[in-house]
Parts: sequence; C-alpha cells; structure tokens
Amino acid sequence: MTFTKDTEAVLTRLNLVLKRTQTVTNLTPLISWLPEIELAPAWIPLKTHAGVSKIMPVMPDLSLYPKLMELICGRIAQGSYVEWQQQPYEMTGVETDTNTLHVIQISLVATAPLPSTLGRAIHAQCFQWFANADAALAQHLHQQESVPFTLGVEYFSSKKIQLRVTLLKKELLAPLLWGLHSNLGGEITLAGVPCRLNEWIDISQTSNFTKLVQIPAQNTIKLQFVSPTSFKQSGAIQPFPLPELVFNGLQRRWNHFAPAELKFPEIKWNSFVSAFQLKTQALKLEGGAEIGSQGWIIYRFLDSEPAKIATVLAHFAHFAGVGRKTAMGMGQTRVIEKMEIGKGEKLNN
Amino acid sequence: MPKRLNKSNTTQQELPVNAKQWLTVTYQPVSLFSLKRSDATSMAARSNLVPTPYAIKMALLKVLLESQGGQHQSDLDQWIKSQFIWIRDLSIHIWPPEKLVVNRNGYKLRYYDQTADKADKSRSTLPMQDGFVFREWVYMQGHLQICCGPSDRLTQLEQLFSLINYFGKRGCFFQYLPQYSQQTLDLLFQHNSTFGFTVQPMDDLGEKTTFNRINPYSTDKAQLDKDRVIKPGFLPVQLTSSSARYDIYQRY
Repeated sequence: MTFTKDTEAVLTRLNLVLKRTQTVTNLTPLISWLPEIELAPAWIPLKTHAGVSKIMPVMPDLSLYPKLMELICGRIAQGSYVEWQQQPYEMTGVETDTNTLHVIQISLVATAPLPSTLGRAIHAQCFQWFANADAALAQHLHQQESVPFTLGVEYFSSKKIQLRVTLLKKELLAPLLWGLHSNLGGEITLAGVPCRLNEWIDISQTSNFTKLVQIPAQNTIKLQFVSPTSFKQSGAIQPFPLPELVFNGLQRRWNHFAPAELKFPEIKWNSFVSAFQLKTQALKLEGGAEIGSQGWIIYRFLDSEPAKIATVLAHFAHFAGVGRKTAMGMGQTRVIEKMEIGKGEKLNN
Repeated sequence: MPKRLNKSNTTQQELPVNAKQWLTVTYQPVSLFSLKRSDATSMAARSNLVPTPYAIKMALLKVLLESQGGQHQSDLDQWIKSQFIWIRDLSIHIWPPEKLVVNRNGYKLRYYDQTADKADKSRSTLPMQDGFVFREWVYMQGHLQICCGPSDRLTQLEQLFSLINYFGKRGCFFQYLPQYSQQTLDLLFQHNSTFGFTVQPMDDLGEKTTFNRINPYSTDKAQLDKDRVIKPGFLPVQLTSSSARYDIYQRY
C-alpha cells in the first residue's frame, strides 16, 4: 500500500473475518488454529452485521496484539479453513481496530423479572470483569475520580436487557473483553437474579478523539438523554440540563482523556435552550433515589467557535455520558441529527 | 488514513540511467471480472478479487508474442527464452479498486467432455456434456493499479501493459489509462498490517520455471509449487456485506 507516511497506530482489537464454506476437508478447530503460544487468546464472536461473521481473538493486554497479528498472518499463509461451532468456515481476512473510544453491547436474559434499576449491580459486574483480567487495574479504576468508562442498561422486557459499556481509553478494551469472555454463553447474577449472557457481543461503535474533532460544526444541537441525567451545581443536585452544566462537564471529561494537542481551552458557551421535552425519573441507587432528566433538548449556539467545540463534545457524549453517576447507568446520551420537535414540525435554524 | 501519493502533485523524480525501477500502471475495469481461483477444483468455481501476478505475467507474455513474435520467427525459442526471464522475475503488486462486488451465479452450460473424447478417438463429433456450474463475477468500481519491478526495461514493460485489454477470463476487459503511469525508484504498494486485509491466494511463476513449462503447446509439464507457486496475498479491502448471492468489499 502506498502512503506518504506510515502511522504507527496501536492495535486495540483484531477481528478475524469468516465466511461459511462448503469445504469439509482439512478443517482445523479455530481454538487450535493458531500455533502454540504461551498465552492462548480467548475467542469472542461478534454480532453478525450485513451477513459478515467475525470473531475476535482476545488477549488480556493490548501490548500482545502485534505478536498475535504476526502469528495470524503466518498461519493464514498455511491454511485458512477452520471449524467453528461445528461449521466449516474460511478465514477471509483480518480487520484491525486502532480506536480509543468503544461502545460494547452485551445481551442478557434473566430467569426472573429484573428490578427496574440495575445501576449498582452492573457497576459491580463491570469491575468484576476488569478484576478477572487484572485485579490491580480494577482497583486503580475504582480509585479514579473520573472513571474512564460508562455503563447503561436497555430494557427490552422485564427479563431481557442489554448492557452497554463505553470505554474512553484504548487500554481498557482488551482487559474488559478478557475478563468477560468466560461469562459469555454462561450465567452471571445481577441484583440476585441469575442471567444468561449471549454467546456474542456487539461492538456497535468505535471512534477516536481525532475523528471527533473533524465533525462539522452545528449551531443547533439536539441531545437525547436516554437514561436519567443530573448534575452537581453549587453542592446541590440539578436535574435540568442547562447548557453550561452539560458542556462544561463534557469539556472536563474531554480534556481529561484526550491527547494534549486536542484539549479545548476554557470557553464562554454563549448558548441557550431553544426547545425540550424532558421529564424527571428516579433511579434507585445505594445512597437512595437519584433524580434525573430523561428526554430531548435542543441547544442553540450564537458563536461559531463554541458551536464547533459543542458539536464535538455532543458526539463525545455518546461515549462519555453526561453529568453524574455515568458508571451507574445515568447520563446515557446521544445526538439526534433530525431537528424535528413535533409531528411534521421542524425547527428553523 | 494517510493518503496515497498522487501523481499530479508530485514532481517526476530524476531517475539514474539504468537504475532498477518500478512501474505503476492503471486500468479502468470496463466489464465484469472473473478469474478462477488457482486452488479451486471445480470447472468455474470461485473467482479471485483481482488479477494475480501469474495472470498478469501471462497477459504480458500474450501481448509480447502477439506484438513481437512475428519478427522473431527464425529465433523464436531463443528470443522468448530471454524475454520470458525478465517477465518471470518481475515482482507484481496490486492495488485494488475502491469497491468490489462479487456476484455469485449458477449456470447451465454445455461444455467439452474430455473423458468421452479420449475414450473414443473415432468419434466424428466433439463430445459435449451438460453441467451446472457456479461462477463468481466481480464488479469493480474505481481503478485497478499494478506496480511491478524492479526492472530496467520499464519502457518495454509500459508498452506491453498498454496493449493488454483483458485480465483473467477472456472478455474481462480493462482499459489502460496512460496518463496515470508512473515510474518510481521504490515500490509504491507496501502492505501495512496495521490496516486490515482480505486474503487472496496469489499465484505466480516459480523462480526457476521456463517458458516451455508454462507453454500449453509444449510437452513439458508445469508443476505446482515449483513452476507455479501460490502464496497468500493480503489485499487492502474489507468485507462489508455478504450473503449467499453476493459479497461487497470496500478498500481501506
């Protein structure tokens, strides 16, 4: 391949792309496909998208991926037909991921109805997964003031849920996947209820700070607060997402995790709320009920520079969450591209 | 992703005379492409995504013989031997088009029955047999680039490439685009595994093979892994969509 320069990007993940085949001779079981290595990878299937089957060979630490990539390239040269879940597949390629920001979704089915609030349970479970891979890392994360991940739960029914874990540091993906791989297809207990995890996971979105800063500016931004969202303001809890609270909080998170050259200077937002549809919701956490806003809100920015930074931060919110207790399920946020505020009604920009 | 070197905004470098150099040529695919994979066992089977070095060298040999063979009727054996060596020794790298769509189809065909023909030499007609064959056709969107070398015969090589109008299965036409040809000191396409890849078996001429071994009119037999070697090729394309009927690949 021709490049004016070669980037030395850090691999955070590898996907092997598999294709079903009719070939039934010379099949090697996937788990023994790679040559003997000191630490064998864990194999985690990904959710099939557009008919493409992928499987991740997962290592506990991303520093092990370059060596793994070498082994895979060498092994593909010798034979690419494998057996996976009693089916013959051909290894058609390798995908690499060098992103920093990830959204991981894991589906669970409970044996009994789950409580409506699982914040604390998923928080504990996530730390357990990190601890499975690296106890020191889990302890270190627990002591952080700004935790580099967020957690959320989407309820499909009282027994069927989807965990959503977002990661803000590339070093966390490998240990998290390593820590949870033994639970996939098996059982965990959430809030005292046994739950069966799906055999596959979905890494539904990836990005990095460099890509986010390239998003074109918008002077009108519509945010959807998917889970209850609240803020600390002068020592009290503020459930209304005022522009300064939302964007100052996001900017703090951004500056904490982004590379030095991409940090944003302090800025006066010069913005106002132009429309909203919010309601307060309570989340039961360890310290009692937490009140937060849920719904959508439209912010309008009068100056181009704050609008540019706010656009980047709004998209960052998809990974970083907004406000308090984002590692307990609060503050799950996404940008809504359509500016509709009602049926057939459009907001004039 | 870093950008490829663009001919239009790079000045043509001064190249030392007789230096071993690389030539990059560009083609516009103008029909569907198909080239049976060399590891296939059935008649039509799966197709390679792009022409292989073997197919490209055979296309070069074909146009060489067609364009210059007539002038060497008296010393054909000697002439083709020397020409074959420098073509055989070329290292060929392929830069696929931006998008590739593989269509899978089944066909009912009537084709030559080799077994029946050999069994009964007294037949007055050519024996044919019915069959259902499976074939893949590749639609290519964008240009196909071929970088080859190192060679000190770039002028001749470029001339030969300009005469090629199809790669792979006969009728898989490609239009040569002279304005994009460039000669460089270094190889333009270098695999970087930081970006993903799709594997394609790449067959090539063996290091010591001879023209007679690959000449279908010769009695010499070509041997796999000796005269025709198959190595895995890593193409910078990603499988983005797949079904029983099609695959879509996007270039990284």
